[in-house]
Amino acid sequence: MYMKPKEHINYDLIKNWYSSASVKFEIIKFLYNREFALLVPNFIKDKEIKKCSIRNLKSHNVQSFDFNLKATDMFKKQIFYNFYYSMAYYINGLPNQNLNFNERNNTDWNKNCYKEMMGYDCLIDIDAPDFSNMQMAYESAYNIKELFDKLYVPYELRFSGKGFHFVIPYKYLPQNLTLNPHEQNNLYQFLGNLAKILYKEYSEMVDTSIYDSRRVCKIPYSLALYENEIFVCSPILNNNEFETFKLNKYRLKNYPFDVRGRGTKIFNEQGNLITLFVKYFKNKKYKLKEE
Amino acid sequence: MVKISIPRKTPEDDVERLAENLWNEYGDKIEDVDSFNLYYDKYLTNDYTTDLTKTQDKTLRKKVFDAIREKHKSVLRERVIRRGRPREKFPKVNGKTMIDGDREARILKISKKPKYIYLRYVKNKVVYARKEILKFTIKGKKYHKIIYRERYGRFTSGESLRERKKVKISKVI
Repeated sequence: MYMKPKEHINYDLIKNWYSSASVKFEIIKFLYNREFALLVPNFIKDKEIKKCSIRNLKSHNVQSFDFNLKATDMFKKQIFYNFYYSMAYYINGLPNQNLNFNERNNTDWNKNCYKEMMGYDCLIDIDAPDFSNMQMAYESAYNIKELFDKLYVPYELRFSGKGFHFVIPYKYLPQNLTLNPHEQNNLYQFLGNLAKILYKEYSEMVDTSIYDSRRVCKIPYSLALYENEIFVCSPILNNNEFETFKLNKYRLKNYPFDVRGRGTKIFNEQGNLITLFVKYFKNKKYKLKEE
Repeated sequence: MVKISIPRKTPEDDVERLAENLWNEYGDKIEDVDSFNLYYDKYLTNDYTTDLTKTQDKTLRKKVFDAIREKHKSVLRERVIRRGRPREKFPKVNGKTMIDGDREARILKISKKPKYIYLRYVKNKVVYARKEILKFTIKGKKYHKIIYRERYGRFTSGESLRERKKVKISKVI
């Protein structure tokens, strides 16, 4: 049974984690040509602190990453942030901007950023409503992993704090679908349909409402902060690691892995999505909207 | 000591008074049958209504409602919030039909809907299920059993098929 820890979050632990060079180098790998966002976690209800969430940051190297964190004053003011990156991959990255957050105006970028997109990763998000339901989330991930392995679908698997993320990199997704969210037959609708299939067939914990052009996802090796818990959002690198998964192992205090050069792993790297499409879309059990 | 029996005063004796008091208290919020029922229940204390049978309560409720409607024609006999309501009655703001006044009646209605909040299994699939109490009688003896059903009415289990077949899987917590 899940027991809530009595201690509150120790801020020094967070500071130590993010000041480690190996963590920074690992985080940076995921931020290249993508948006970096610092969002205040949900458990903080204070409206003033909620306003401190920042999106559209450019952080393509360690220096700019450090610079961004300094500009937010998160360590001085002890603001809790979860670190996110965009699912969208931009051709030229994000535009350079003023780091005085009050002076920035991103409305134009927010409207037209899809024009700069080169690709968009598929994220399948399995969320547990509560830590006591983590076993269910694990079994949901187990079901989907089993399917993907059977059909030889390429994917990355990550622990996200209160659930699991399956990420299919953009290069494996169909290239003929548009990234413009205002047009029909766009990639987001397609991914939404895929998530609905997984929802119907494998688990109702799959989130089907997350497919839009500006979606962000937790950065691997960043920290997932909850009211009394800190977890490391860690990629899972092999089957054995997943099969022996324990929640306790991914608490910041107990994290057993050496982060330096750990990176991530694409399971079934040589595979593709064709078998999955044939199974679910071609046999007319499920119809794509555009068909 | 001699007990003097006092004839029981039923609330039906003073429908007018009840209607008037109810209107004074919640008049601005009563707009139709639903909101009337809501505030009628709120206004009457438990001990006031415990003596009443179901039929008595129903008739009293009707009489009070009629008494209110006699004086205040703005109170509708129909339900304000219902499907297929005449749209012209309710103005549209930003494409949404706006209904002035209290929405509690509707909220109460929604809260009565079954809630799918329990995570359970159907075979290996994880589903959200609702709780039900199954009542049945065997040879005159009454039994109660708590069951969980998912959206399509299927029974759910606390264990996955994998677990029942004793396939080993990591216990996360």
